[in-house]
Amino acid sequence: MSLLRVRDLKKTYGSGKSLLPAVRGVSLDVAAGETLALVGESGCGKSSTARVVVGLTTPTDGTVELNGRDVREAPRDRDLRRRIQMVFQHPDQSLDPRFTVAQTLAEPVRLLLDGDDVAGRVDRALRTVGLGPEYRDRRPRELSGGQQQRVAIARALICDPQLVVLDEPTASLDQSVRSRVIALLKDLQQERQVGYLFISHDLVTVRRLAHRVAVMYLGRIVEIADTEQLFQAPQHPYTRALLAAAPVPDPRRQGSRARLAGETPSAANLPVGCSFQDRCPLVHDRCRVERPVLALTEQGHAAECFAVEALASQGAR
Amino acid sequence: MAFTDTVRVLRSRAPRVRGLASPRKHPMAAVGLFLLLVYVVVAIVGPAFVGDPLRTSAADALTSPGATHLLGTDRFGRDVLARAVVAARMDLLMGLVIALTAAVVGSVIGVVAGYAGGSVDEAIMRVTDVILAFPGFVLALIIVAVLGDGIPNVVVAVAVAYSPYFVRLTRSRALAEREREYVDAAALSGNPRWRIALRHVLPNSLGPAYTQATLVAGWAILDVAGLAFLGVGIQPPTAEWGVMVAEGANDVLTGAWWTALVPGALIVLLALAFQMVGDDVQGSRR
Amino acid sequence: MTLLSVSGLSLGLKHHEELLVRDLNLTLERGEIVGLVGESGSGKTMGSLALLGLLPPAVEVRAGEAALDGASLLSGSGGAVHRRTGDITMIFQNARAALNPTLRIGFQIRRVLTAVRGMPRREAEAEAIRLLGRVGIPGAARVARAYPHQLSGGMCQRVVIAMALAFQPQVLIADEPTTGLDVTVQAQIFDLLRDLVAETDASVLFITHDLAAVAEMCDRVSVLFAGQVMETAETVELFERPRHPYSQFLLASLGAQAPERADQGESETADVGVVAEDRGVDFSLPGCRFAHRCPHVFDACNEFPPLFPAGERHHYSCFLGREIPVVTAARS
Repeated sequence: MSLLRVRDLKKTYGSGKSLLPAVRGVSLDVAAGETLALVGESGCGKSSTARVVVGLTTPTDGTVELNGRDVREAPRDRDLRRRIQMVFQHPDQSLDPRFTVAQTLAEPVRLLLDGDDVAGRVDRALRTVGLGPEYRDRRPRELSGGQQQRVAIARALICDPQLVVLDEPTASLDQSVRSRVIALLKDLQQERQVGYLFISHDLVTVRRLAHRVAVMYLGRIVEIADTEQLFQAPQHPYTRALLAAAPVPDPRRQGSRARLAGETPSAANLPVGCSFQDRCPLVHDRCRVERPVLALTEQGHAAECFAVEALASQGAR
Repeated sequence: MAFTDTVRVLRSRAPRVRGLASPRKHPMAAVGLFLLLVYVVVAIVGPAFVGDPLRTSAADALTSPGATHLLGTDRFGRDVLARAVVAARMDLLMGLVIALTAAVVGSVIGVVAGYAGGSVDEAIMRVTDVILAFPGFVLALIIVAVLGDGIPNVVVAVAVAYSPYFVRLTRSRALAEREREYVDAAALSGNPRWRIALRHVLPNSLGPAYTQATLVAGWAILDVAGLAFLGVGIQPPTAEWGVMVAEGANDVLTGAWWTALVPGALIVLLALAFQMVGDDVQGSRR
Repeated sequence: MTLLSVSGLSLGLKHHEELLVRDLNLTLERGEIVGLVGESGSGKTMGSLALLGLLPPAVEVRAGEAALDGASLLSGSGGAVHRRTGDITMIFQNARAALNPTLRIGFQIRRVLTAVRGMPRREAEAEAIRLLGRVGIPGAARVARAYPHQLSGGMCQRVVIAMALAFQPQVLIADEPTTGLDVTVQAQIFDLLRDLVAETDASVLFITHDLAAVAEMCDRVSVLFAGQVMETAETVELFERPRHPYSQFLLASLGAQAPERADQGESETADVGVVAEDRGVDFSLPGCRFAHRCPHVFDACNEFPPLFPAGERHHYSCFLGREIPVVTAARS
């Protein structure tokens, strides 16, 4: 039974004439101890999805359940609130600049856990992320980016959550610091069997941390598969383009790769049919009229594309 | 641009003096602070060293500054120095209290408006607009006329006139701060909205309010003295600089310049001192 | 044939002793793309600003020389002169911020053409549209009449490249040109830059923190840390045989993300724990700036290391000489 169940999630911003459908029907599951990565470029809706999942905003439609409980109750239900937490993208902004590290970490303990053994928990949390007790009285501006993010991770984990949503946690960190933070996250997951919903545009990090990957484009999941499956045999044309676009960190292996033309259109002006039609190398007439639905190709590997569907049914024959 | 990171990193490594910066870098603020210090000391201990500000003596009326009366006497024979020193206590205290009241009340309202948004924000902003529609001094005048004379009423009146500045300042900071990730993080830590506003947004929105409060203290003193000069709020024979200027205004014509000029200069100098501190701090906050 | 040469360039904050950038050496040949790679605060942007005469008022040149085609860039307003004549120009990180929000795109490009290349207005208008088309902007004529806020980040960056092209520069400095852009757009921009280099024979100084981008774009690369050049080599050489401990560390953090090493069984944190975490460099110390983090630090490191040769066009700034075991990057 999965830890997190998201079914047909929709989130639309704006009202009246100017509507922006940021999330247009996303369904996913995350199990305990597993990492599902949500990958996509700007405007794909991954951050909006993250915010709804963690309960910071309410969905326009659809359901988000943690262990069968509706996440919309989180602001009112302390027990639910502590079970699902988040790590944000900008560590220098996600910590209150006037709070010391100890105060930042103590706050959730006091508010969500009845505040017993606050000092002990704070020290243990610091140790878990590799920071010593000398960090207790420091303020965010006295910490490096990597240290700040570790404090943020400590805060997210201090109340023993079951699921942590991570919104581009390493995007604003230096290359070398990134690896350490990812390694830390991986260790913590193994130790505590906490589930991660990992939002990122950095494919290299995703490949290292995630068990499964869902690729988003204009508010929908266009492909979902086990990590290695996705990287080695991507099905959806957008996934292929995305993987092809990422620079390869090996100067000897630079071939010419097919490039995706144009840019992501605005979600406010979506065409009828498949939202990828204007940039897709495999587009044909059906794509402009009908919208494809996630089609299972192999065990757990699904892609939302008519061309892929056709291939799958051919293979099945 | 990226290069600012390097410069900022290097600058932050330079030893930082918390609180007051070196006098050489901020000459204005240094002078202003020194003046304020003098005023404060005089206000606190001064009255113990001078004579009775209320003792009248017809025989000594309008004597020019000299040995017995360092700053002369006014038309009632009262020692000008004594009155000025005693008045210092009142004016300084009133200025500070008014600034503090306006700052606290205004800031809290401003943060509520900025954080809550929507109709709450609209309502508060419209009320603030109405208050700002009146020139501050005139508004204070009207309020004291309604409430009656007396020091507390003057404090309330002038504070009300200055509150809108703080409301606007903290509101705009709050609007920016509420979009920041630590506010979301506070929600995830179990904070209800009111606690987020109070514990997280408010402290981080007060930055510009500090400098504004310094400036307001100076202006408030001018307003209090101005009202007293007009005979509103604080009346003679209370020793207050504005009152003294009013009383001494006519004396200038007869050549007794010290009765009006001394208190007048003291008012201006104190307001200037606050201004110098406030301006310089504001400039260096970039 | 060497087009741009920088030797011993040192920059510092005025009224402070410490050097922000120390002893920067760089050469750029015609038609080459050379990378300047380093993490944030490594001084890579600062160094290039010096070449253009665009240093912030608080920063000054302490030592060294820089010359474009033999002519000095640092003496007097040398850099500024070359910048105005368009021999050397720069494209910045935040493309939108580099454009004047109150002027139409076409006008901004036209200004460059009329001021630097002395084109008459009619001709400049047509050329501006041609340049916009050349950088891959669809509907160039319409875009020329638009304002920057109406364009996406990727389009703004293309416009900035078009403006740079208008200068017909010999040297183009690209400072993290794809920051904040989607990876598919980044790929397009990289392709564009490579095409333009091939077509115009201009040289590019490519500043970035992304080693993968270096692998894709650069012929040669210099690795910078805390204002000190750690290693300079041809790109393939650097990836195959990195000599400096810092280069090895950077490549290892890249390589550590390769999938084959994912299932190590042991804790992941041990992998990249060899180098100490950055606690801030003390710029006033005379020695090697990586010393406080280096796993191989020893006595000699208290002096500033000169460049040791390690092969053809390969130098590194470290006293260890040939004693470091060469780390091969993980085969991906």
